[in-house]
Amino acid sequence: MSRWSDLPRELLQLITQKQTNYVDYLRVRIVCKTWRSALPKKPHDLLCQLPWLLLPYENDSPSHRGFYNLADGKTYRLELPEAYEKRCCGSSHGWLVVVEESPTIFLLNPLTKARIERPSLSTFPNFPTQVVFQNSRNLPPSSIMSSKLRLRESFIRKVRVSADPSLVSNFMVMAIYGTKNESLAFCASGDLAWTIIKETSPPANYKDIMFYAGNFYVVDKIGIVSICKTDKPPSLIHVADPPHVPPEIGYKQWYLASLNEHLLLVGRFRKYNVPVYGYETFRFVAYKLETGESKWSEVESLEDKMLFLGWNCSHSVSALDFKKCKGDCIYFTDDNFLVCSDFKWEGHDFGIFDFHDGSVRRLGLPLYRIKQPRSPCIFFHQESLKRNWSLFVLPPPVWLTISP
Amino acid sequence: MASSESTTTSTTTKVLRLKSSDNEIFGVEEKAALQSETIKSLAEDGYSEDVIPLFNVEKKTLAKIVEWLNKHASGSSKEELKRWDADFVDVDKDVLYDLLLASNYLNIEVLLHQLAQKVADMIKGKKPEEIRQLFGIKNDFTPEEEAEIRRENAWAFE
Repeated sequence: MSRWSDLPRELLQLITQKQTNYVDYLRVRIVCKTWRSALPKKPHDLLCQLPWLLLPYENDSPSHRGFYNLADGKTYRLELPEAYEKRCCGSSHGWLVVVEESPTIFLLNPLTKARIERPSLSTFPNFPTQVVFQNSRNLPPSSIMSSKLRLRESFIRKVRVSADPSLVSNFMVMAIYGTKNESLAFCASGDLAWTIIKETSPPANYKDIMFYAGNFYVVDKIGIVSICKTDKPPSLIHVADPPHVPPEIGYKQWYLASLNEHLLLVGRFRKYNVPVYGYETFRFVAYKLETGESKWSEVESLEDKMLFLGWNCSHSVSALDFKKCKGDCIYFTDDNFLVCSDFKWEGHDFGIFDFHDGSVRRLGLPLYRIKQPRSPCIFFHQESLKRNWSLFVLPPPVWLTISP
Repeated sequence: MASSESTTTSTTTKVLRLKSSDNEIFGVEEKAALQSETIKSLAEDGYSEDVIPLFNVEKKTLAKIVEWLNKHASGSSKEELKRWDADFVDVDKDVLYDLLLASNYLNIEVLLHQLAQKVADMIKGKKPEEIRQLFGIKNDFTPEEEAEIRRENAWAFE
C-alpha cells in the first residue's frame, strides 16, 4: 500500500496550489478518501487564473453550454439551462450577468449554479414601455425583433460587479444601459431598484467600466475616463482626457484594464466590410495612467501579461505561470455593438492580438455544432442579413474567470 | 579545478554535523545547512558544537538533501541551478515522497516548493485512475460513492 494516500494534508494542499487548471484539482479530489477530505470543495489559492470562454448554445443540447478552457485546450460542457435563450451581458469574478425578456437580470455562477437576482430592468426610472423600431431600411417584418427581445438584446449593454458575491455580501453592480444613449446605472447588493447616473449633455456614451482601487472607473466613447461615485447622490469625477492617438482607419472602441497596478486604457480598431464577415479586429493600442497624474503614456509592451477583454470585466494574467501561454497578448471577444437605428453583431471576431508583432490569430478552438438562430431576430442589420449565418458565432463568446 | 574540500582558504568556515535517524553523520558547511530553518533553530539552541540529530530523516534521504543544500550554497548561476534542480527532482515516486516529507520537516522552503511543483506537473492532465496508478494509491471509494462524486462535476469527467 502506497504512502502517498497518507500524504500530510498541508503538503497535498501545497501541491494543489501549484495547479493551473481547476479540472486537475477536481481530479485530485476524487483519487481517494483522505485526499478528498484534505481538499476543500472551493480551492483556497489555486493558480488557475486563466479564464474560460463561454461558447454559444449547442445544436444537440441547447441547455448545455461549452466552456473552452485555455489551460488545457479542452471544451467542457456544463448543463446551464438558466442561460438558455438569454443574453450574457458581462462577466465579473466568476459570475455571468444574464438578462432575460421578463425583463429580469441576474448573476449566475456556472460552476456552483448559484444565482443572485438583481432588481428588474423595469425598476429603471426611465425604462421604456415600448420600443419602436424605426425600420429605416425597410426590412421584412420577419427580420424585425419583437419589442421584448429587442429590449433584452439592447437595453443593457455591459455590466460589471465590484467583487465576488460568493466572498462578500456587500457588492455593487454597475451597468451601461440605454435604448438610445449609453448611460450609467448601478445597484448595491441590498437595493430594490436601479439608480441612474444623470446624463451629461451632450450624452457621453460610456463604453466600459472597471472596478479599480475601490472605485468604478468608466470610459466614454471618445476616451474620457472618470470615476463614478455611487454615493447618494451619485457623481462623476473627471480622471483624464483621452490620449493622443495617431489617426487610424476605422472606429476605435475603448476599454479599461489594469497592468502592474496602473490603470490601462486600451483602444480596439476594427476594419469594416471585410470579405465574408462584416468586420474584423486588426489592432489594439494601450496607454497607462501615470500615478498621481492625469495623463496617459503609451505602452509599448504588456510584458509577460495576457490581457482578456470583451464582454468580461478586463482581466490580466501573467503568462509565466502557464507553460504553454504567450504573454504580451490581448485575448479578445466580439462585443461589437453599434446601436443607433440598427445594431449588428456576428460573434466571430474573437482571437489573440500579439502586442509584440501586431498580428492577430484566431483561437483555433474546436467549436461544436452551434445552434443557429431560429430567425434573424438576433440581429437586424441589413448587412448581416445578407451574410451566411452559419459563420456567425452567436450568442458571442464571453471570457469568464471562474470562481468554483 | 580544486574540489570544495581542499580549498580550506577560509579558516572561519564552520561545519555542522547532521545525524540521520539511522545514525549516519553528514558534515555540512554552516552556510549551506542554515538554508533549513529547522537546522537553523536547532543550531541556535546550542546543538551546533555537537551533532544535530534529525530524527525524522533517514540517511539515504539526508544524503540527497545535503547534496541540494551544498549545490544551492555554491554560487551557481541561475540557469545552471534551474537545470540542476530539474534533474534533482526527477526521481522515483518513493524518493520524491521522502524528499517532500524531509524538506517539510527541515523547513527548506525553496526545495519544498520545487518538489510540490514537480508533483503538480506529474498530476497535470491525468485522470483520477491514472493518478492512482502513478502513486500506487488504492481507490477506497465504493462504486456508489464514486458515481455520486462524479455526478457533482459530471462535466469534468466526460
